[in-house]
Amino acid sequence: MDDNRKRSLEDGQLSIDFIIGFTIFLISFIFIATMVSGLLINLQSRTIDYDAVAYRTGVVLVEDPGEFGAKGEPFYWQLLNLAYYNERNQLERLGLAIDRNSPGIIQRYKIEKFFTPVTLGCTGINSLCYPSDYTQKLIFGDYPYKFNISLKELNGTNSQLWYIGEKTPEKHGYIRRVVTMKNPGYTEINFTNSTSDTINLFINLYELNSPALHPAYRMNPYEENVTIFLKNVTIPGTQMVNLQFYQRDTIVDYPGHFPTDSPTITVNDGIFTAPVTIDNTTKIVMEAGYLRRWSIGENDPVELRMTFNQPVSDGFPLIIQDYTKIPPLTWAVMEIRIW
Amino acid sequence: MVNENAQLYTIEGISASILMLVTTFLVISSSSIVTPQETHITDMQLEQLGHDALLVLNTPLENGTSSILYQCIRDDPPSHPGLNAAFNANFTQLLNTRIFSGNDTLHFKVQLYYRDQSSGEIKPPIDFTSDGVGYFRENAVKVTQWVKMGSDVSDSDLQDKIILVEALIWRS
Repeated sequence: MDDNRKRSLEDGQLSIDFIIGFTIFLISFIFIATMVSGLLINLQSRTIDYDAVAYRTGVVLVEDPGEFGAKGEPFYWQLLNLAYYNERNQLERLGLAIDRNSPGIIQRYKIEKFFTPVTLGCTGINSLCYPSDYTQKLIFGDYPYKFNISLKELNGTNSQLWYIGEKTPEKHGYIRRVVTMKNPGYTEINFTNSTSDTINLFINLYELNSPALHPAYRMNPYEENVTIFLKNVTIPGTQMVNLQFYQRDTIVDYPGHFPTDSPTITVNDGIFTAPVTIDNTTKIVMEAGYLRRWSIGENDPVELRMTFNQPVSDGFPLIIQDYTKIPPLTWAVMEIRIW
Repeated sequence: MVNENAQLYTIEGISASILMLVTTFLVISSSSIVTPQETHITDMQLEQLGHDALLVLNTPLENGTSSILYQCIRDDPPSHPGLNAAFNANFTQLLNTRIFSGNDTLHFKVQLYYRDQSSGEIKPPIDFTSDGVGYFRENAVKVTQWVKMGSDVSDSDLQDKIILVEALIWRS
């Protein structure tokens, strides 16, 4: 009984040795814990990480068409008017492919938008913001990667070169991709000096989007400029006196109403103001994004009606694909460097 | 009474803990990992580039035309001896063109696989072409591409065949 009472007085007591040992352990543990992140630096290889990020960036650029808005929407992010805050906010991911099923085939309009950013004061300008849009919507990751992306066409002396980014340090991740590039087509209409002074040019988007033709070889008025050359103009002083744009049978645009800012319809690089004197170099351009501007569906038929002061055709409506040439795909090399 | 059961003697305890900490510190800080992944990254780059180059060659440039890879096999089938100059020129350009620095030094050897017309067996690989540089290195990669031949091939053995084009690519 006495022994038990004596022992109970000392139960649960800590010895001074234990307290000293435990204190040293705790202090050391905290010390080590704070140092561990620094110690592990030796274990990571940044070059490997950079190579992986370069690879991923290459895949996104070359094999992905990009994304904007809600999931499943079309891929023409290049048509977004980035001058507007809400449109810029919709941009999710940058990619250059023509669509999801055509990896390795990239689109020239996406390339041009991609490689012409602004560096300062992006607000209110219809261009990508360098470098924030690129790091947030292409390279991703928390680490502030720097990059240099270049693209060179392999088209003999006509090869174009695009590049963006900073001077590359010696240590960097690298990947090289070889791609094909889709270039926009053009339409040539020959005057016939026949009976009618009008040319009705039908742009039947439904037929143009036919799945029978691979997207790489399609005319794509929704995402690319529609460039029309008037040829065989033999009567001097021939003038275009009216130009109207129709969606189905409803007039959408007409002289005095064409938007003065891009995307719009131009004649000889200017807004159409009647009359315009026509010769064999006359060029009419319906700019990429014009159809989206008027919320015209991707499969809606549209029509350009041109009226002249001379007979120019037999009056039968023209279907645009019958007069359109799509230039061959061109090859290009893309280099991506990340550090 | 305090006895010596489960007691830590101060000096031994402190020295043991210091020993353990020093050992842990040395182990973590001095360990170096040999990273064979770096080799794989190079392989991956080479494989990606080779795959891209074959895909580009296998993509017709215009609607209704044949791809360059198709034309090369059609016009210079493996039954013809010698190198396929058209294929070599295009493949070399696609593999080795760099944008700012000089050209790369990748080499290749291409073989074709297809089934024998009569027996249905897969024929032994047939040497299609190479860039003429011997292969002496270990780190090569293989990339493949399927090509569907039509009936316009002069070599009857290849008519209407699906051919596996296999390119061995290495850096020198």
